[in-house]
Amino acid sequence: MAQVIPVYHVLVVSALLFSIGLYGAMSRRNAIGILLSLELMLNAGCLNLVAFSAKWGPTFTYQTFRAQEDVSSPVGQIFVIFVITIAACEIALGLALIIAMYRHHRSIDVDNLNLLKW
Amino acid sequence: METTVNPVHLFFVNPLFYFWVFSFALLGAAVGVVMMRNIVHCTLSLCLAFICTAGIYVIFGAEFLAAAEILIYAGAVTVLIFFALMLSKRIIGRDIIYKNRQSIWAMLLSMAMALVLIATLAYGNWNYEVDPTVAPMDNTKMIGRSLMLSYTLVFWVTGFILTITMIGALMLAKKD
Repeated sequence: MAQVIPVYHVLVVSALLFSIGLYGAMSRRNAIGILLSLELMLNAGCLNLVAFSAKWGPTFTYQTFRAQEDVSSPVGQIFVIFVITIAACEIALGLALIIAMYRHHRSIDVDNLNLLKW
Repeated sequence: METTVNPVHLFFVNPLFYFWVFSFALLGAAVGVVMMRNIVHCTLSLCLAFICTAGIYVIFGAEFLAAAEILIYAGAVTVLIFFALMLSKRIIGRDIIYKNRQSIWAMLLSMAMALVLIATLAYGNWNYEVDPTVAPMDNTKMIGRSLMLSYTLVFWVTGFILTITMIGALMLAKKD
């Protein structure tokens, strides 16, 4: 039996995960629920990056940085590190916004936020 | 002399098997995140989804990322969300409507999105395979070295963004 994972299996899982997250982000009324769905969508992207990195990362990086011999890195994993950092920033800012919103409106229902709507 | 291998054993050392175990758990947890009514249950389901994602990272030879995922997402982000939940009450109730009016359209649109993505996959040339057994085992060393050598500027900018975000979150969340 094969010891390898065809890469389109990962892509299908990631596409399904992204769509589930998209549904949650569009259909929730709770602002924290929307943030949770955003995290799911970010994870779907990271999954793709890690799968491609397992196949192409070391080869392509070595070809790109041939001048510096000691640079051979899984590029996709480095991208995922930055994505994780930015996602942590995003969720910290989002939760601070939600707390500020709760303080002013006494609710975190995004359907009630129609202050800027004409 | 020919050695006979039990096919059941071959099945259980197959990485594809473990990939699909983690994938089904991941997709089930994701459906739980968007479908459950109680937001605390949703957050716990999201924690399970993060742990399953870390398992898939381990299968693809990214051990450092798996540890970071567990520490940052399943640890810190989940606790942060729980704090925000406890700070904003009146959201954990049985009679709270948790979906908006465009829920049906959101379902249709996300199904269309999944169909478009998978149809795009069917037309592309994705027929190559990932062999997890040849993945380099000194990932962490390589990641650290290239963060310090060729991605130094991005590393600094990310640290700057983290600082700004911390100040911004403090300013937004403090009482005025």
